[in-house]
Amino acid sequence: MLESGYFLNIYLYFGRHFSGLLDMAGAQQHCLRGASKHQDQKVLTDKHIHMSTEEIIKQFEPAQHNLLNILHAVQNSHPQNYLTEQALEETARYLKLTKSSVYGVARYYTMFSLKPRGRHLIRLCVSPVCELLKANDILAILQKHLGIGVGETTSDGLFTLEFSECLGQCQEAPSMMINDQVYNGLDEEETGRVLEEIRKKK
Amino acid sequence: MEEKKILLKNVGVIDPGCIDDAIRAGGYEGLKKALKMAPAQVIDELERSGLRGRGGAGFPTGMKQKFTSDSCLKCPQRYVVVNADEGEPGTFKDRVIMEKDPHLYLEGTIIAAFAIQATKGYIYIRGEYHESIRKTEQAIRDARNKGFLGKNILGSGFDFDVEIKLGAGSYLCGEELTMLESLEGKRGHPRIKPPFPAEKGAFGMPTLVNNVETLANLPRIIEHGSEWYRTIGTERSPGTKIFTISGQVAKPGYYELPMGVTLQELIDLAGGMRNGRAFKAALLGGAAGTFVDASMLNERMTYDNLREKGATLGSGAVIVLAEGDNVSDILYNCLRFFKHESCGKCVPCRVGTAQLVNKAGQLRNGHSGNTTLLQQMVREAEIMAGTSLCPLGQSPILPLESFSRYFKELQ
Repeated sequence: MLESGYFLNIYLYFGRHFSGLLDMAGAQQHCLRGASKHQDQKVLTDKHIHMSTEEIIKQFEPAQHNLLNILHAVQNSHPQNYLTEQALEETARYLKLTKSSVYGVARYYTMFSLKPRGRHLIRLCVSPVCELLKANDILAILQKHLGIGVGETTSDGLFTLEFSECLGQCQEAPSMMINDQVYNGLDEEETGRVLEEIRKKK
Repeated sequence: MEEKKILLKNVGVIDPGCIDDAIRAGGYEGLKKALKMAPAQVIDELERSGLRGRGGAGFPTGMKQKFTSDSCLKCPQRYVVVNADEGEPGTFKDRVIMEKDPHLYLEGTIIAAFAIQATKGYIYIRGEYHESIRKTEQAIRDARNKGFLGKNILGSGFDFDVEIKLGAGSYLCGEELTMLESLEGKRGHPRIKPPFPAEKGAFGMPTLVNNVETLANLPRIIEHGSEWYRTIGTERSPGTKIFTISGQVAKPGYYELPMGVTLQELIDLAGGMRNGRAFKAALLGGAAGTFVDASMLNERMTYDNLREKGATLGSGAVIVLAEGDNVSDILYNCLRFFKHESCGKCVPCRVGTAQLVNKAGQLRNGHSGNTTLLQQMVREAEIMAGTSLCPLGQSPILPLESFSRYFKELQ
């Protein structure tokens, strides 16, 4: 009981702003990693990486089961967080699939977009837990700061606001993701601070 | 009731990004022991342990392995697929394992593969779980370097390797057959059962689909034996369960407890109610779960006991509501969720989920303040449950029926 509270507190404290800090500190002390003997699997590519669609696609084996991973990687590389028609065509050609089946997959999954979005994609969690803990207030704050509705993009192309189903962060609801970063325990001040910070970095 | 940390004993103790740390804390001991056994012995041990699937259905894990192992002896390939598509609202137990001790479930995956003699595995992780993906990727890389994955694992002659597949925001893909469709690079539409994955799974081959938490149990069972495992929990639901409690409690979070804990004990462990408010209701098992009221506070939370009482344990999600919260808002949210996630393949589900949202909206606004509306909704959900192919269309009846049982008088 005591122990659990202790770790939970550490987790809550560090989890909010410094996630990964604990791991890194540990790694420096006693976890020496040699160079990998095998080719590294890279499912999550770096955001907005400067590679052509072709270069990205060719990192994967040309098999249909790689389709979702490829679409993620391609979408991730685009500064506007979306899949262009050309990208879908190239993917279809590479995997020897019809364009329509690739389009069908891209349309089916909510994380993929066929329309340009902002550089920073905000996903506000609308799960029952977040709703219970006032996610609606956070929505109002986001809309006020950004001046846009859900599904819209700010005129400077910086932000798109979307809803997401449960992000699995219920221990510290309400929550949102911006690109691949999770923000928990949101209130008016924190929400404004996060947006400001991103605006400054651009 | 105290926490019983079997799965989570190294959480917060080891650096999840460091395999040496995991090994020092006893990681991969279960695998080493398993590789010295015959595959059939491993399955026997798991059957004796009484472990049941932690994804929600509670199916006996050993039996599933036996089916998969025996179903098609001529098939050239068998697969293990890890269900890490944790999307049930209020659930984050798998995320905790993946982010804090990824080697534990990876070890469990390798043991499961050895048991059914699969040489290839896939870990299907939901696309939003970036940290889990990164940690798992690192764990796989390090395990390969240490010889826990790849050809001739630890000199045993057994080959196995695993690959990560990303989900992309579809709750439905958490259902095992739909997951296999998605894994193959298709839209997440459910398949007809039977055949079950044990007979025809990924790429038409026998496939074992297990949840992350289920697999995390395997190293411990093999290392310490099924007799030890059965001393924890109850007769028919042995072991521990990671509960994720959220909502109106003082210390929401994850708690690993022996099966059979009561709701009241869990709430006490989570620091009691937030700001001392009175308990009103809990939603057990997420959106595809059931509402309970205060009369259930002292019932033991096991698969069977809850089922007998018309409730469900599901994924172990517990969403707590306090006096003053509107239960019908939460019901509305769950139904809206189903509408959003319905794939549209079965008409009763596609049309039904939309109708239920409309009616739940009326219910919430108090426009039709009577029980007739609720009765209609339950009836519709029953029809959907009987006529939809996959668990999504069969789920709205769960929150609806339990809501109407406990909270009818609110309307």
